[in-house]
Amino acid sequence: MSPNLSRLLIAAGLVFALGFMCYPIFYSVQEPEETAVQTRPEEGLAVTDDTTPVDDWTPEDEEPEQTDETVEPEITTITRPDPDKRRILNRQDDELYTEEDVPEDPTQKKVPEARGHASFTSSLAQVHRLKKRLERESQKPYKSKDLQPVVWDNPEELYQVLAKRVLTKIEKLDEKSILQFMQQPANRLDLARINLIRRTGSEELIRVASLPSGRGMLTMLANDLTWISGVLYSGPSVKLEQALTNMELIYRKHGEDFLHPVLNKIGTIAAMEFAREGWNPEDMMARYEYYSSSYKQELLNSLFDTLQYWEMRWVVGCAQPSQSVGNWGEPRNLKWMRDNVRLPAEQYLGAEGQLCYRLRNVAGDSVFSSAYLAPVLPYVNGTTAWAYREIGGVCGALSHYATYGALASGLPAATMGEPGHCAYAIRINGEWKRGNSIYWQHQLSKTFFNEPEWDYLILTENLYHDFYTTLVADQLVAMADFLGARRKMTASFNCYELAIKVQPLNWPALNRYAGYLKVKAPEDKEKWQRLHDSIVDGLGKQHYNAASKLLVRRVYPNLAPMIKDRNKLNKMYAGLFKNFDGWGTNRWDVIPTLDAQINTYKTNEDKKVYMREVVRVLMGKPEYSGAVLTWGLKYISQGLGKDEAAQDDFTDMLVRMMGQHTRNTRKEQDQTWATLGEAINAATENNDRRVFQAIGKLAYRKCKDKFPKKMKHRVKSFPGRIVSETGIIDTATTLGAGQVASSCLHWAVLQKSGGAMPGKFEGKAGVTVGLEKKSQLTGVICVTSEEKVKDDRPFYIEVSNDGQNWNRVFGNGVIDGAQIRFDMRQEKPTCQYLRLLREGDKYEPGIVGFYVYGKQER
Amino acid sequence: MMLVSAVLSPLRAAVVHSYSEALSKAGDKPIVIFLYGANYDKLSMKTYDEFIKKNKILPAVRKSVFLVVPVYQNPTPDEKKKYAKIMGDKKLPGGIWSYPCLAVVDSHGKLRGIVQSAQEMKSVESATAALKPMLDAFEQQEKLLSKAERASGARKADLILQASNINLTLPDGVGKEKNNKRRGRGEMDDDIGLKNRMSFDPIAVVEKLQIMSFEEADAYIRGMIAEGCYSRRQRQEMMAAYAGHLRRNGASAERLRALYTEMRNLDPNSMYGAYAEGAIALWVEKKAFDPSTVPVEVRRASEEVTTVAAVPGTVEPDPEPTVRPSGSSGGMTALGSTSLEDVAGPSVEDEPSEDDFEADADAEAEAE
Repeated sequence: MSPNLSRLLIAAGLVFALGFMCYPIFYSVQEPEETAVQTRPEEGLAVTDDTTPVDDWTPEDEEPEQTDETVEPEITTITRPDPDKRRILNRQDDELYTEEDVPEDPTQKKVPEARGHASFTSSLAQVHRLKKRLERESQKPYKSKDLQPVVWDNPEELYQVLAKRVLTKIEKLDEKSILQFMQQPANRLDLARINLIRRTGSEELIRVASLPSGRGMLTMLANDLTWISGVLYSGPSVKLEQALTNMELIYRKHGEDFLHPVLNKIGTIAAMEFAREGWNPEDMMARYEYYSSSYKQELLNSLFDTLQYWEMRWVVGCAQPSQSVGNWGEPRNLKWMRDNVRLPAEQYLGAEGQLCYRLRNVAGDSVFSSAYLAPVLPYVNGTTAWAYREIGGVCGALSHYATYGALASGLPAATMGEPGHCAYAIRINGEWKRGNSIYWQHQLSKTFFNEPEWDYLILTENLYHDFYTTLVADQLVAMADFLGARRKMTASFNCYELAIKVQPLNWPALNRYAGYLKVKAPEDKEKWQRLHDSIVDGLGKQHYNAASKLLVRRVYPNLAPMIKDRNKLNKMYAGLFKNFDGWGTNRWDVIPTLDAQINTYKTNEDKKVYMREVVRVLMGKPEYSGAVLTWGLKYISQGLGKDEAAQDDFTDMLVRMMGQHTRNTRKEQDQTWATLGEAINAATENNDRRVFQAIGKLAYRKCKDKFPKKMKHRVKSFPGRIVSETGIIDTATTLGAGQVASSCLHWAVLQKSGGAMPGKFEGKAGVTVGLEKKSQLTGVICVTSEEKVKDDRPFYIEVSNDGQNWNRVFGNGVIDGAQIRFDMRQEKPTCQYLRLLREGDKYEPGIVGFYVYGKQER
Repeated sequence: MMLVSAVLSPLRAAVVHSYSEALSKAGDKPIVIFLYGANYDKLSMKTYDEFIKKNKILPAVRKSVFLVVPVYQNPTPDEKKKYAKIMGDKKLPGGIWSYPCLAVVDSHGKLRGIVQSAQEMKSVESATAALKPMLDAFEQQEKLLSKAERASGARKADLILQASNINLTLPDGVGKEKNNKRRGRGEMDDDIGLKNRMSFDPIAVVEKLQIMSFEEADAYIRGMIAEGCYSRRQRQEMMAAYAGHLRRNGASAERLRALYTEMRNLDPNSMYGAYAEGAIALWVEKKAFDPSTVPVEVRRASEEVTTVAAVPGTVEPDPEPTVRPSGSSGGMTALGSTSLEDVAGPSVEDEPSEDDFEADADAEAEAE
């Protein structure tokens, strides 16, 4: 044999060997063992004809009886996994919509037409029956025995078996068949198992199964429809691999507890919420043990016993779990509160009254310093709530005290931030109530959808309060995900559409469908338009904020470019506002929506038409008129770049419209007053002197009665004219809602008649005035509402030419009763901005007049 | 039998079934109200069974008027009716922070004391141990106030001061010239600074000290303490403000140690006694508190003895020294003190004496 031939044979041998070794990577070595799947006939289930109106749903008592118990054969013959063969590695990322490595189904490849309400009718009847069935089943939870622990050796193969079984049972893949399939609990359990495997990933499941009690826990979970539904359909089920790892930890120590319905919920939600939040497993165990032992000892409020999985998230998943002083959710603190703040649910609202309000403790240490509580901690055993009850605190401590009092006794509650303030929310008799709240902007510390505003809290409540409808919708989304992954595009679209039709408040489903649509049918205008309409007519009927955000984030960027006609686009945008009746669940910030809408127009002319239209529509809705003016003014100053001509043009249009649309009758004067108050406040925020003056004058014309007739105090003037009369004034304090409504009086503070404005003096916080032109000053007079201005600390004046860099020019104003006077006839400083400050502690006298005397520069 | 009943009747609690009946029957006796969570709290129900159904708390209630009030969560119409039948249109006094509890209320509806911590309410025995001294204190305080009503001048002020030294919230208006329901006949000569005590605001002291030098601050605090009218707690609060001012402005560790020691020694077992001890550990000895050294289940012994929570908005009464948990420092370690020791503590004469009560008894006999 020649050397060349032998080399050739060796090379051929190597190629063959390599091919043999790599074979399993590309092709299945062993076909998954066929499991006997019991396909069931439709059993004569009464399915309403497509043309039947929804109102004609078959009455429950006429529904033919079906046996729920579908005995599935045990799945025990799973082959050992081949690491190179796994395809379902990690399907956590919901936004990717990655498809499985399966051939496309030519019959399911096409994106179906968007459907009108009528085409859903038949399906909705089936959905209604399914919902009733789920309600009935809750009395008799479904458990299976067909999965054996060995299946977790190869979850990939288990998935294939289940997928095949599900697809075989569904047969036709039309809505009717899918809903028929879902009527059976065994089928729903299979769907949940598929969902669990897809969302956890096979590798992670193998890892969880390899933990000491992993197999047993996974088997028990995957055979229990109620439990697995609690994991998958009770709110956010993210980071499932970590959640299952956490769950195994609890199961290992307290396995028996999972057989008890309440303890099962506590354990499941502790595992899931601590995974979602990224909190420490040790803290999770402590949290689980706190609630489980408190429940066993009957120390919790009886309402806790009735909480469902989703409701438990508020309680068992409450924040600040790590075991250190200052954390309200740590076991030591929860125990103390459980034992010492035991109240009926209603009385937790206001429980902050048990604490003194104190900015400083009796030693003079600020509540924001570590010295505030430190010395008393040994006395209270390091218990945060107890320490604050002894020493007192400010809004943060007070609101946490009330919140964690409720949480410790097992009642849903959450703290929430407001501008410069901390408040809280407590759920009482199924309704969320605000506590210690002073403002409409709430940022809840605990959310389901990472959306901290109040509207989402109510949305979450409404969504899961209608629990069985949402459960149907969530299972339809799970089915849509599965079918999409199996390349059954038509069926997947149908399931998504049905899911959002069934439960229009399903925020996660709506987001998911929009994401799917963007990937699979980005240019299907009709489908986007249908989604838009579904959001406006469903979510948008009550949850204006959530609906607007969804449209802005998901729909407008895709749909607006496809609508070329400006008028149609304007009409579509105005359609969002048509349902607005007041603020909805809570006041919200409409400005980002208006920004998003106007930014879809390219030319200034289109933008102006849009602005005129939106101002016209929203000025007709009293609650929004102030906000829309605020937005208009802000947009003009910031959104039009440096185009001064355009700015002037827009401003004229807006001020003209303000004049036209603000109410003139005495009855409606309060509304006009509030609207203009918001607008002038926005002008101050934008430092827009011209608009500030325009609105001030307009308010004076429209609401003269709201202004004082003349200054109460006699003011002895300095030489020169009052150069501040045409300026703009700002106060350092945060304005409450009522104060914003009266902001036009700030303009009057600069006028001879006088006005009213809250003042705040503390270090560099004071009252700032921007003059129309640079001026040479002769004196400044600030008239307060006090009988006698506090004189223990000096007031002084700083001046600036740009409003940024300040120089102290005049110290120690002379206090004359209610007035602070600065004689500047000697120094004659020149400036365009000046501010009045006071050294030392906070002092908040009202300001009724502020007059800067001097001469404007040419 | 009737004779025995008549003899024993003053010793038995008068059980009533409505709040207005309790107020009208009370006179100068305390009303003890057992409040419990009736439809949402299993612990309350267990306590109710033990305390009320088995009649175990009644002996501790003694001569008081006794009322049971169920508190409902999201009440049904029936429950609303039951509650209305007991409470009528009256509201429970402020300061009740936890159920189940035993509230001690006077005939004006003012909460004077309350047994409401978990440790106190965990058994009939612990609740009795907490309630008994409270009812004794109520009786003593009422006697002193009754005498004060009849007295005038400095004697009146002195009696009120004695009453306010008792570990119980004072009735509304006592010691105040305006709106004083219990001012009585004679005018009061407030040479002892009773009004200063009643209107004391520790945060105002902090604010005053802020712009003072060390010497000025020392003179200011010493001057106030020398007035002698302030409660132990108030004096501790003054010392806290003073020491805090010095600490933030760089006073030496030894000076702080002396001040905090003085503050602690005013009442070592009180919260501010413990605060001072904590301050020494923290800012003098530089030892940070480690909560992990305290088991979660541990409760302070001081919680297990009588603690009367002050009702917000009222002057904190001068607390009686509390029992220190065994094994703790006891708060009396031999550390440096300052020159103020003599001025700081109330004299023995300030405490109510047996003579006062005998005089009361005489007065009652006279009235009869």
